[in-house]
Amino acid sequence: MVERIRLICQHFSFILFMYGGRIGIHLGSSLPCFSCPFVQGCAGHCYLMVLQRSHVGFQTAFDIMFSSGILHIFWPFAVFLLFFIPLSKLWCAWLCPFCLFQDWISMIRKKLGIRPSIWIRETRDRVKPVKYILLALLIIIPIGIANFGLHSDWGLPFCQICPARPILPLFIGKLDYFHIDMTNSVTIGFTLTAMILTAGFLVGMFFKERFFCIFCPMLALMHLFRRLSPVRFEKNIHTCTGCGNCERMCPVDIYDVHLEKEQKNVLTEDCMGCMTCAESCPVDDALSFSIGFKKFRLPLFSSSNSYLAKKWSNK
Amino acid sequence: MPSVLLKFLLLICLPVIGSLNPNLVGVWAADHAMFSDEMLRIEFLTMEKHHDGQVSQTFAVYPPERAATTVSILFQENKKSMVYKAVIKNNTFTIFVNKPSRIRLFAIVKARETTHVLHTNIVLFGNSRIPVQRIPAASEGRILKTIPHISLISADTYYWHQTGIPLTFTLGTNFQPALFNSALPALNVIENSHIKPVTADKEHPFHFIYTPPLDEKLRQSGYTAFRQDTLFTEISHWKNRYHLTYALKLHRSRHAYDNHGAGAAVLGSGIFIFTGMILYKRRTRQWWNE
Repeated sequence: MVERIRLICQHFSFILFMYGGRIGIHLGSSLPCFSCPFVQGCAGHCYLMVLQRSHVGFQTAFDIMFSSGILHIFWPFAVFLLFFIPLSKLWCAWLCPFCLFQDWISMIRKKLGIRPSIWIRETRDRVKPVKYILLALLIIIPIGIANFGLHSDWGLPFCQICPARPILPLFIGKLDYFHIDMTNSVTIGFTLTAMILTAGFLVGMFFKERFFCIFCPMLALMHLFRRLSPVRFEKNIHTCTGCGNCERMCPVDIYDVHLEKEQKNVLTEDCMGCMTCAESCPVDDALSFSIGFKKFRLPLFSSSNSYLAKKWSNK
Repeated sequence: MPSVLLKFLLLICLPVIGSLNPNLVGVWAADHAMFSDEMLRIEFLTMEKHHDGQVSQTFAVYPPERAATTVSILFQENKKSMVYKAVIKNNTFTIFVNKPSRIRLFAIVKARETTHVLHTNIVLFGNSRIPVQRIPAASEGRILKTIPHISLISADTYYWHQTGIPLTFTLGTNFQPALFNSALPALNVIENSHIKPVTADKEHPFHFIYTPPLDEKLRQSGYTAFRQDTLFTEISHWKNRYHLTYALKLHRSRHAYDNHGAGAAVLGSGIFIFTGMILYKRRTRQWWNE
């Protein structure tokens, strides 16, 4: 049931974000999902691009940044928060077009009967910092361009290597971004990296569900501000039997939910709120997603033994 | 055929009102230094982003040697009819914008019996709520409706004009350009200090197609680097002579150097190698220990 609703939401948002601009919908440039600005006619732009731009992002000279000019960086961020706060990381698994693309690739793998790759915990721990490093670089490099004379072709560094940039325009029939830009050494370096990463991620997302999300700097950015959101993912540590279903069913192999013994809040840094873990938990209310603050809390979904039994009997 | 007939009819029906100066190209090409003194020029100087979000573009203006009056700078924003004037100080002037704007700029000066008209378009991305201080020029602005000028009619979908992309120019006049002798190189361009004729569009009379060649210097510079080309011509209307110029700010081509074959090769090889690596790993290790 939850999976089905999520798929409907994902497909609806995919159509909205990818083609909404063609019917006049424009949601601005601060969306907390991969609604790629390189898709002409999209309904809004990914906030990561704004972060890297001049004047509204970090490609801004220090004298402007540390003056009233900071407001121009702040406003898009405030809009980003306005979008992010009500839904938190549910944006990723429920609305992000690139996440749906990855799910399609996974569906093909499942149809072909190929088993997914499973990462051991050490590997998961090793790749965790990558998204934070990417987030830091997409802020530091634009600062370097505006203030330390870095070549301007380093502009939009993340967009230049983001696999969504060549892949998502395919859905409007545009193949333009599968190329090596031979303009100069900087552009060759970026486009070569982009093509290698795109190949790597395409293969990766075939063998592992939501492979790109593990490295996504947007997820890192969202995690930094998760406390502002009323969306909660909680574990009842007293009722949990420690069966490990949540870890086994998690598309990105999060083990923290399974192992958590003290904290109630288990919305970990890699969690995208897909609710697969809660769906597969056999204990009533052991895992629950809810929205709201303290007394005014609205349950979104809670684990249930009967729900799980029904789900598996249907399969 | 119909265009030839139309030209013929216009030649017969209308009084003789305009012609090209046939000696123009030969004379000025021979002596570029002298040519520079004879024409009204502007130079794109710095574009600056200000603390309050306004963006300014500064220009240097070089009037012709024998200019009888001071150069008047008039501009319009985003195709609106309101005309403003800019004040020249120390041969420079600055235009401010507070929102994304396409500026149509005209510089006009009279030198003896010749009226020099310079035209250019520029896009600036201002982002401020603070209104820009401008001097309206309603009375002077009326001249823009009638004054002949070189006009850029195709600018592709890019807001920055790029090398390698054909640009179509025409002459904006309220008198009949059909009378120009199209056998002559009617429109010329100064490209890195060299004068070249601009090709006439065979399909559309009085349209000229200029494809700025790719530039190695721009290629190595960043995407914000630019060079300036100047298109010019001279026309006459009764006893009035007009020297028309268009200042063209050019950035490097964004797609001319794209190699799609190499991109596909790298992508294909990457997919092949990564798939091979994963399959090899799967066959040589236990699956639960990946």
